[in-house]
Amino acid sequence: MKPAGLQIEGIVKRFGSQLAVDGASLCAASGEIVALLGPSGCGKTTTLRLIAGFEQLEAGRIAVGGSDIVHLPPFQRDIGLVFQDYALFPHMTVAQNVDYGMRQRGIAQKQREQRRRELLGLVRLEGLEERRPAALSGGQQQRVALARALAISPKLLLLDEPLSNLDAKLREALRIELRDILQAVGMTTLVVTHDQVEAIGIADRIALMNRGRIVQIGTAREIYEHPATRFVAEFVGHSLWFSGRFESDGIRTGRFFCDDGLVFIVERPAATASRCGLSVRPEHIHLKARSDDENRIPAIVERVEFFGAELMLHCRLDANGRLIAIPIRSDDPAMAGQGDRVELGVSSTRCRVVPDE
Amino acid sequence: MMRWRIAEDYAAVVIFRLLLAAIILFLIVPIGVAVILSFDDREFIGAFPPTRFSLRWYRAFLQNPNYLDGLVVSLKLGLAATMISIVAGAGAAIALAESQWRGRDVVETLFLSPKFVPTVVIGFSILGFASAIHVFDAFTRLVMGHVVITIPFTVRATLASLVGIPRSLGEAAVSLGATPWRAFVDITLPLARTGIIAGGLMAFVLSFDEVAVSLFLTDAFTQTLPIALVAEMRANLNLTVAAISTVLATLSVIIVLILDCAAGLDNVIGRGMYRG
Repeated sequence: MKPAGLQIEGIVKRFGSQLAVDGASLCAASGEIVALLGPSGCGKTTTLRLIAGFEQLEAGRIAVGGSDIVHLPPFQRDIGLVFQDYALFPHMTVAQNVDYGMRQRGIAQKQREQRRRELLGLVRLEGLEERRPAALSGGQQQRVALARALAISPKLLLLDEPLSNLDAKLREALRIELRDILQAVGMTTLVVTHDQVEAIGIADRIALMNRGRIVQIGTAREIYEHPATRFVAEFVGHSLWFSGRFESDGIRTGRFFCDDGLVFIVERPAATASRCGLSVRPEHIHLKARSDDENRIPAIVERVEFFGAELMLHCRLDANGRLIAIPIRSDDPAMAGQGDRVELGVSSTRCRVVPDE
Repeated sequence: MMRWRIAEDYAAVVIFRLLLAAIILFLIVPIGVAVILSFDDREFIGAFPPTRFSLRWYRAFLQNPNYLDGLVVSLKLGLAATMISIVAGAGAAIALAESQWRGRDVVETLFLSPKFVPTVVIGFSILGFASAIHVFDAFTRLVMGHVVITIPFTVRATLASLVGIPRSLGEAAVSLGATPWRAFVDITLPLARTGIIAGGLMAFVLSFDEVAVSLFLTDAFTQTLPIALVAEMRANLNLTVAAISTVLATLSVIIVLILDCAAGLDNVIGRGMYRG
């Protein structure tokens, strides 16, 4: 079996009395792109700095390509790092920036030039070799940083919030381009980000981090459809949350009794925690219940917001007076107007009972 | 009512400008007078302005061994003190910039404190300290004193230039395989270079013009140019003093101009209390 590209086991890091990373574990296959996604302060940047060697590990293990790197100083780790601010050397040209790591490794000039040409071709920056970083756009700077990190043929590539310093339009274009480049290179990559769109757009799998721990690892679809906890359900996409208790009534189904009186027919969760709740994606709620929707909830449309391709309908539930926002396409035949009575419907397969943590 | 306000404003602006002009005149005119007098051809210090001009006082300067010895000492002293001040000051600034321990601010203030301590106190203290450690050589003493008074400037200038260097640059170099020392030499040092050089030039100017500290530390055989000047003035006042002053002032102006072009004067002598 091929060794894992990156393996993190139970790493711990404290700043003073503050636990920044609390036993996080994570595994990325060789050549896989994994996003480390979480809110600010969840420990993801510390995790990145631990892997790069800029912070000292207190407990746990970090292995790259099967070999332990914890004992190595950062300059011997062979890890390519793209900083959030790109950290290009302002007094060097693009070529000198890209060459820097290869020079440290004593690679001959001829090979350096060839590798530099290859990489600048890959990131589409041919002809800009003699420019200084200050004379480049944000997107170009980012690609130089990427080329510079790749130039040392690292065993692992780390990207710290790669798109956060770019404006919204550029971010979208670069996300796709970045994904293409990373796939072409085929290098094990860890992308640290707080932006779920960035994570979903770039990575093969997403590791969700909260309070210093990895909460769930999976593809974007797995995480979206089967969130492991309330945190995941609410951090990725939108989620309606109902607290209450679950009672099994068969092998595959059960009932969820909400604290506020509603009862949902739901799929039986894989495991039940002592404190759990029901998570429903608003986009899975039909404005007019379909025949296979086991759950029907009468409500009244209180307000309609128009967002172009999409409308947001704010519906007040009869049962408990709660107001929920449901997005629907503006050409949806089930359209309703302000003041209309509706019967909302949601399939039991779309109702997730998850631990409340 | 409104018209009065406008008139008041106008008057305030005029008064302020006059005050500014007065201050500038007060600073510039004496130097101007000295420069003009240095070209006076009269043998005595006569009424201003001079009636005939010549370079006789400059010749007198170049023919007086006291002055020439003083010039040599001042140059050697300036260079030695500046070198030490650059190495020690830049080193201290780099250590300060990297460290995050609690006493950091105290140490920084300590390094900048010679700016605020009266030079007479510094001169006397160094004299006492030098004799306590059995240093009786005047030149060594002078170097010690001049390092103390110039170090705030090299520390300050280096710190100012280091502040602008993001930590990620050094880390990037290290992640690319450079040892921390290599990263420092390749990245931090070139980026801080202008600040370090600017601080050094400032230190040299300061050392070259210094009187009060030197007064305590010179002896009969080792005199700096400003000290020789003071001594000569007391013994036998003539316009050589004006000639030398002109030379010193010109030198200072040239160095300060280089400084301002290279690094911006603000960075070197501090930005005052209100930092933008």
